[in-house]
Amino acid sequence: MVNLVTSDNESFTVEKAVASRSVLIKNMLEDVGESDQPIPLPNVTASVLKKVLEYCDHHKNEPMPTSEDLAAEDTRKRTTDIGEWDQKFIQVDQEMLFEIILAANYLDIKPLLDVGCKTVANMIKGKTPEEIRKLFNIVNDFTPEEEAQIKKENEWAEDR
Amino acid sequence: MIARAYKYELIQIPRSVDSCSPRALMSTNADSADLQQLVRALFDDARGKFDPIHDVAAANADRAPLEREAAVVNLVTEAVNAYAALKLSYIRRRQNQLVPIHRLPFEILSSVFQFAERGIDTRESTSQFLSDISSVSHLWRQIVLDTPRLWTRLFLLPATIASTFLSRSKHAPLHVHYDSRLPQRLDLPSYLELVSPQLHRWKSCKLHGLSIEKHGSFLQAPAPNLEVLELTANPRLMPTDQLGGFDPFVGSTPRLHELTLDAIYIPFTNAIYTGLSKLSLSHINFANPDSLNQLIRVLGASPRIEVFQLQKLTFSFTIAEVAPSVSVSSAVQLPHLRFLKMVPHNDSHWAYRYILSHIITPPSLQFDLRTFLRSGDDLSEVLPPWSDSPNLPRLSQTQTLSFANRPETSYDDQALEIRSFESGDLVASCYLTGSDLVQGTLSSLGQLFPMPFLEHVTFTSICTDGEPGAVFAFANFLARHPTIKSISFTKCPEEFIEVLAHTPAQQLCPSLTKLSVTSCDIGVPSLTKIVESRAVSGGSGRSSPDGGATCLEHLDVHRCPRITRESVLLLDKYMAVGST
Repeated sequence: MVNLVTSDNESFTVEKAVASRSVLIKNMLEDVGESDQPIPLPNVTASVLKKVLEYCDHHKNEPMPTSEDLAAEDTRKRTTDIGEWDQKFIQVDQEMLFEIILAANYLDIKPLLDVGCKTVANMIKGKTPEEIRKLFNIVNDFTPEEEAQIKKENEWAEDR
Repeated sequence: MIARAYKYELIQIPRSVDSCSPRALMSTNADSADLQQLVRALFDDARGKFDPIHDVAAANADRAPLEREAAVVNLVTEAVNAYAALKLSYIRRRQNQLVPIHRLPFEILSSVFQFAERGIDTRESTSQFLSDISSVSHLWRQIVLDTPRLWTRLFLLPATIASTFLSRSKHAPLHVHYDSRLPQRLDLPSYLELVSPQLHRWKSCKLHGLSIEKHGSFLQAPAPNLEVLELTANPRLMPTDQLGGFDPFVGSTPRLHELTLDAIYIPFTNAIYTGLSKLSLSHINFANPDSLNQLIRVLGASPRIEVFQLQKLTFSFTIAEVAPSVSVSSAVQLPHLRFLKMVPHNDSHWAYRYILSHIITPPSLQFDLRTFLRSGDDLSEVLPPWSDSPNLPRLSQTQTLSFANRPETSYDDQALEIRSFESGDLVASCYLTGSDLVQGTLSSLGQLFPMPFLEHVTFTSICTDGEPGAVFAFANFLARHPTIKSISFTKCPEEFIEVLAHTPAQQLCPSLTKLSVTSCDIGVPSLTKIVESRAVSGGSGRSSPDGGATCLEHLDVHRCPRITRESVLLLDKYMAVGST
């Protein structure tokens, strides 16, 4: 078992197979060897780690992505399809979604990072700039002058 | 791990304003915190810009000062507006920094955009998508412009836009796709002229409508990063190996692993065929009798091949002319082959059979055959007998087989689809057109191609009109597969189904426990005969009255117009009957 300590000082004791879905933790365990020392995760809060561990537990028996899989970035990004369980898992509010993505990035859990990125990708697909702004609470920060220039620059897109 | 600070840079705006413009005025006061001071300063500055009045003598003495004053006010208003716009833009960018999505680092947002771009259904939408996301905010625009991979798919683009994509893609690998069947803004030579100087960056190249004579010269440099190549010419102009070959990329494609050639002939001796994971060849005529052995040697040079497809190739020589080749004396092992598709031309079945008997495929292979069978022909025209070679090992493991007549466009022809499954996985799919198909396939399956593990068979829309031997062939097929446990008929003729009735002379399918009949024109006497002959009275025993055989335990009858509910109830005393 592995003991993980979050930024808000909460401890999680999990199976090694579950914790090792994180390449960061896996490498730490390999570096430290057999030890009861807790592993501090200063960039992850308890609520986020709980979600991340739920993902890791569900996928613990799946093969880890090989270096070949990771290198084939073009192939990996060819689809935004998400598995059924992952879709349900990632149905969280935006705050949590971005926190999960950041945690997956920090903990180096590539498949979870991809699920998060695909989810955001699916959210923006087919939307107008204004709809995207509304969705993510972004304000239009272009000056009218800049907007006019962008519109002119983007005429090519309409000239399909 | 990704860790990179955001950079907020103003978009490059042309600064072609003169010294009296609001921007010029504002630039002297942009840091002033107090708007009143700012405006006063702007007024003073603006006045200064208009002094001294050189043309005062020529001007109307009363109007000139007022006009000057009005000009100053206008200038100041514009300056304040410009300043406010910039200040607002700055504040909004600061606001945007605080929204949750912008907690994601640049690289992750870039990755999100790449996922979204690749997931776009139609190629036409790509440029619209890039335009949309680059118009959301400064940060998004910066990310889009700084992600070269978003600009690498050069599809359906006018020349100016293709140039924009090329420059914004920087050094990223390119996807060069041109399909002459789609409306294009650029003809193929102009497109190739634009993209061929970047040939060293090509990662995938799919050109439809290629003419070697007209466009071949654009493909005459090494393509060190090319991984996928699809070249398609007009299939009606089927090239022949006698006309000499095309040598694209001067034979230098070290990373190529997927090759598709449709009506394009590249000699099999070319290095382009080495180390492939996918090879697809269509609409090529081979006149050289050694070409078949050369093709088998090509497969030998790609032992990791996963997908192999041959469609409508013709061979204008005979099997007798194929010289025995030392290097193909034994079959080539293709342990990674997972999909094999063959669409033989009418007169070239023998060549496909030759190829099949010279390769050994793994049990996991999925085999897809689509061909025309002349009257009297059977599957042995194309497939080597299973007993002779281990090349298609999984077919003999078939547990489930389905036969279905499909609508066919040709008026005189039938179409028959046969699909075989093992442990739920599709093992083979054969789509046959022609005449006498039921007889031709059923007589060969089981005889030349035995399936000792066959348990489930379904027949759909089988039509035996004009095939007097079809019922006999069907009975023979069943006789060769005593392992069959369930049979399902949908829209099949009565004469076909009633073969199952046990008679003293004929007892087919001794292991049959389940029969399903749906939308069939079968009458009560025939069905009763089958049920009575295959069941023990009372339905309690396991052996049939004749002994030895397992009895039918379950009958499903659905939507058969001649079978009434009352007659189904009568059959219920023999076995479980389901009906609708």
